[in-house]
Amino acid sequence: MDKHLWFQRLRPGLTRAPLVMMTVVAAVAVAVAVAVSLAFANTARAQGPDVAAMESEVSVGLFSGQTIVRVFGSTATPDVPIRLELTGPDRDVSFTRSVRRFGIKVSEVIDGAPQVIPAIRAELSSADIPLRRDGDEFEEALIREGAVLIMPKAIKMQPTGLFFAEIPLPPSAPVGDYKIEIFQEGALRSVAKVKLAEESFAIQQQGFVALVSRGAKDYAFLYGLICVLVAVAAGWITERVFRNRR
Amino acid sequence: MSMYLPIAEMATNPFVILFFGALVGAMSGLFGVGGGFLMAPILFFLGIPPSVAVSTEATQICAASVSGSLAHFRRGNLDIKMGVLLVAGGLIGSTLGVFTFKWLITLGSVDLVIQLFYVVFLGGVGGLMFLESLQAMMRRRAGKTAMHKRRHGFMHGLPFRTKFPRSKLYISAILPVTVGLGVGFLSAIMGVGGGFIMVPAMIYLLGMPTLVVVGTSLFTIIFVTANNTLQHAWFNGTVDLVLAGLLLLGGVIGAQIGVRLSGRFNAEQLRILLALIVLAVCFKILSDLLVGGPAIQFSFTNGAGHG
Repeated sequence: MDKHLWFQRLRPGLTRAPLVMMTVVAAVAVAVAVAVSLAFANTARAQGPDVAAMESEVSVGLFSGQTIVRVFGSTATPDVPIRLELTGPDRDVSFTRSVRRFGIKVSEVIDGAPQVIPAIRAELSSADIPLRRDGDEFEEALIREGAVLIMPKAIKMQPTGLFFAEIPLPPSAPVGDYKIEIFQEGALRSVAKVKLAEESFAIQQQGFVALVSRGAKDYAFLYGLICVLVAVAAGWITERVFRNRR
Repeated sequence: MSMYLPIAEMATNPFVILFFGALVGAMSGLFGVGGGFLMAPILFFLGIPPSVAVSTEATQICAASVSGSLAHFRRGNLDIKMGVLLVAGGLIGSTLGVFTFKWLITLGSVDLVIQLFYVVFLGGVGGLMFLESLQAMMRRRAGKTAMHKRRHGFMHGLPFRTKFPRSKLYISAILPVTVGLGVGFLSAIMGVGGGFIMVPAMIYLLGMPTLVVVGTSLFTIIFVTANNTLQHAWFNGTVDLVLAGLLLLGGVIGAQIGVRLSGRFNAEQLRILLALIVLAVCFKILSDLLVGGPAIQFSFTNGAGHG
């Protein structure tokens, strides 16, 4: 979209009243990726278990905030635990440690900490198998703040081999590409996990939210001018509306 | 229910923001202060990244000063010559502030510096206000009136002496420019209008008559916060229009409530109450600095979300 067109699209909201802009719905809309994939390549390597089909669906309502990713599938060996990993888009990260300096707490960047990690990650399993790596202080910080979700027994497995899982993504789940991988564990923990299927979807911003965040990045000066205009107009309108009532 | 803030890259409950916007708006209607120094810390406590909170507050204060100043302008309570000099200093100061802010973001210590500024200024201003209100109350009980003495200091020897007919002053033009510079810098870093520094500076440092102080201060704040908004959006990309809209709406509602309530309270009691609120916010920020959070924290640097 060119610069001129973008400005034209934002103008009507401005000229009517800032109230119009405020009431415009700002919700993250999600591009739905519904897919049925037969993981032939993977099942060939897998010894025994296989996924017949997997489907992922993302639904988001107006203002509803939370995104629930639903995953369906089936396996020929329901007695072997299933494990699911959801990986969000990568982000630069800095891990800091609180250090006391001159009596106050100061954040100090930790050397050797991961530099780039998925902004959100979820690990689910059908059994009560241990999912978290104990003793990883970075992982613990991520779990505490909700950037890593650990959900044992969250995959519902039926005796027929059909399984179903819901992954609740927080409202602040970042935009970008998400990957879902499904594994089946070996009977013993020492046996390497076997990948059964892989699926992906994307979270995108839509409507006013997309307009604002793209405008703020691509046309920063114009966006700033619009913010100033909104402020001045809002102040002026307020004064006009309430002047007579005082 | 939640609403997505596109620049803060997080979802928030719009009613919580509206509620606090209205609360701070009511306080500013009640006390006659901008309220930026209360709103920005509240936004920090609500989990909005401090850089976004500070920049977006500039937008709200700009709107609040436009609506607050129009009545003063109509009554002519404005020294336009003094205002222009304050704005000149203020624009330089706020631009310096925005670039200092940008530099602090790259250093990764912007949050700490903002918090330290808040502790120092809230503590100082709140403490002084509290002491002064107590003294005023005691003087009133003793039946005496406050006396202002005109002192002849170093500032009267400065060059570029200019006549300010509206304020009935003949002082150096360097003084208002310097006051504007300091206020502009603080305004950009702290996300405040700077009225709580500028009004005392105009009365005690410049010696302006109280009648024109508020109008002239609001006039300066309009331009300084407009510049902050523009520059924070342009160079730091930290102004959230959706958050600004919520704050504006809450502030408008609250200010009307505050103005209606203000007739029911005694002015001195209000000042003591405001001083106590300022000191409480200062104490909360200070205790966060002293106690600190969990041992290991993280922040995503290309995207303002998450703690």
